[in-house]
Amino acid sequence: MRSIAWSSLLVLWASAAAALPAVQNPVAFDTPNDGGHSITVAWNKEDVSPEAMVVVERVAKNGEAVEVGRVLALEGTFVDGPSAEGAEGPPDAQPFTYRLTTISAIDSLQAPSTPAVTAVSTAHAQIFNTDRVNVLLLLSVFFAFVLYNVQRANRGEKFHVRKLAPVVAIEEAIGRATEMGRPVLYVPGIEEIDDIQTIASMLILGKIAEQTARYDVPLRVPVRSPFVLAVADEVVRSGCMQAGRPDAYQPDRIQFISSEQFAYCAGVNGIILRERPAANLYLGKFYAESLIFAETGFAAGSIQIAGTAEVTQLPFFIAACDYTLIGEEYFAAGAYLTQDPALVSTLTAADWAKIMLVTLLILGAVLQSAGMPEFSQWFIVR
Amino acid sequence: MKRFIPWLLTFIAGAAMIIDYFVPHRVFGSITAELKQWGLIVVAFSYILGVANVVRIQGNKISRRDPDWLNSIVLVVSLFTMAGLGIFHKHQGEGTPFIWLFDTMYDPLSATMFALLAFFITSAAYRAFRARSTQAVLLLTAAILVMLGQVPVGAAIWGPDQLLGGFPGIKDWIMDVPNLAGKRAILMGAALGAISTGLRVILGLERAHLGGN
Repeated sequence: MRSIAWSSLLVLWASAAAALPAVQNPVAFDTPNDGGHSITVAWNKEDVSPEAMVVVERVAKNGEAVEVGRVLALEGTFVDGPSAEGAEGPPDAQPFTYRLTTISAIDSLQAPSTPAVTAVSTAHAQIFNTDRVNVLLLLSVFFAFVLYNVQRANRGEKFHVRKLAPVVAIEEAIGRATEMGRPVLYVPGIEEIDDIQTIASMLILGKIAEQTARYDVPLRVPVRSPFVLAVADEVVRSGCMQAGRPDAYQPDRIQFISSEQFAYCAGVNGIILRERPAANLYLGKFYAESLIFAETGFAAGSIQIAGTAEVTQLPFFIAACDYTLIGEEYFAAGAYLTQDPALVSTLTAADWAKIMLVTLLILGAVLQSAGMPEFSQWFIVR
Repeated sequence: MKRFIPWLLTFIAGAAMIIDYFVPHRVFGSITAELKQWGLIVVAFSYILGVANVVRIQGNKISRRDPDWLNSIVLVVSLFTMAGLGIFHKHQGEGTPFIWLFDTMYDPLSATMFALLAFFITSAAYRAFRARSTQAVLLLTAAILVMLGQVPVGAAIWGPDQLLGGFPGIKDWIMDVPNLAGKRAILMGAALGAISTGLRVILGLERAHLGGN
């Protein structure tokens, strides 16, 4: 019995005595493309034990060391920078070395390694994120297309835009509402004003308000966000002014329902069923409520025109509405309704960009198939 | 000037957000973070406008005894009850009147609205799948194949270890090839449209939201 106890003690002592090997090739460098206060520490992760953990210490010029984190040795890197937990990272423009000590993640008795020390490194903030040079380049080309075409429009050149059946149908729907003496319902989606689809919806609403004011058709705009309410109110008011009918602006018709999704949904359904609008226009960003609106409107016998760039909701609108503006058509509707050459010219620019992207896609597919992945990899956004 | 200043503010805010994507420097990042914070504060204050709008519209309905004016009373009472309980009740959490009302009234009502979707999907699918044109026939065929590939009975009839991967294999092909291609095309067009709309607003070409064309 005594011999077993002694041998156990010997095993424990042996494991404690055999220190873990230190990490190999430790390096520290300024974290690239960041806002500063960050140094990345890396080491060779190929020859480390799976249960080894690295204790990372930041050592200042005066020798003061601070533990900044622990990470599994297999990960191979550690970023000493600002974190959600409140860490501020190393101050910019000050030299630091990093001391990396390997310990066992499962055996607290095992002796730690001798520390591996990196060379001196300094954190700096970068002015430009070089990982995003591809986005900048493509965006610049698109900007150039837009500016060039706007210039062409200003010179008086004409642009051809294919007929958008749903937009033509909007005018017919307003005509139908005039004949029936019933209102037009405009639902601008359920997102906040910072969403580009809501902004596009407000731009279309201005034109719709102008037309409904001209034909003296009541326009009902229930909104989900109070901020959208303020913008919609102003847009409808100015639409009525543009039509030369300021008296057509009725602030009570632009109504905040609720910021809760299904409460808003119930409110809009109530309007559809009580007021039986002649036309329902669903233009904006929608989620689960899209089909509930569209089916209720169908049951109420309204002509329904929808438009969204939300791919998951498009099938519902296509199935339940008379016309649907799909993706880019939705964003083009505002420009199409005005027929303003400067606005229409941006649609031509978007078409040019599409041709460019399709060409790049084909080229990328060909080069990738030919075993040259570098071209397509350049487009990866980090 | 009435339009120039709002446009200038739009331009500055829009340009700052675009630059923020490319400039990681923390000084610039703190400026844009501050701008976003202002946005949040403005949105929070806009709720006062929302409540004022509800009270004004429903108050008018009640005073005019419009049709369904009793519903307006329920709405206004509910609004102020929940707001009052939320603002003045000291303790929030399980068992408090606010949470009790939320859990026992709002939640079930919300779930009921959401559950309506099941019936609406059925009625919309019935109309969409009526085989009256070539496109409708294609849609119907694809829908049947995807449904059979999705449910266990489909795999039992024609399993994944059989020719073409059975119904599950065909479903995967429909979803991963034609469906995904269409989806990506829509997304690509929509992204360009969104950038184009953003540019029109930032450059001041589109001014409908500033009170005129």
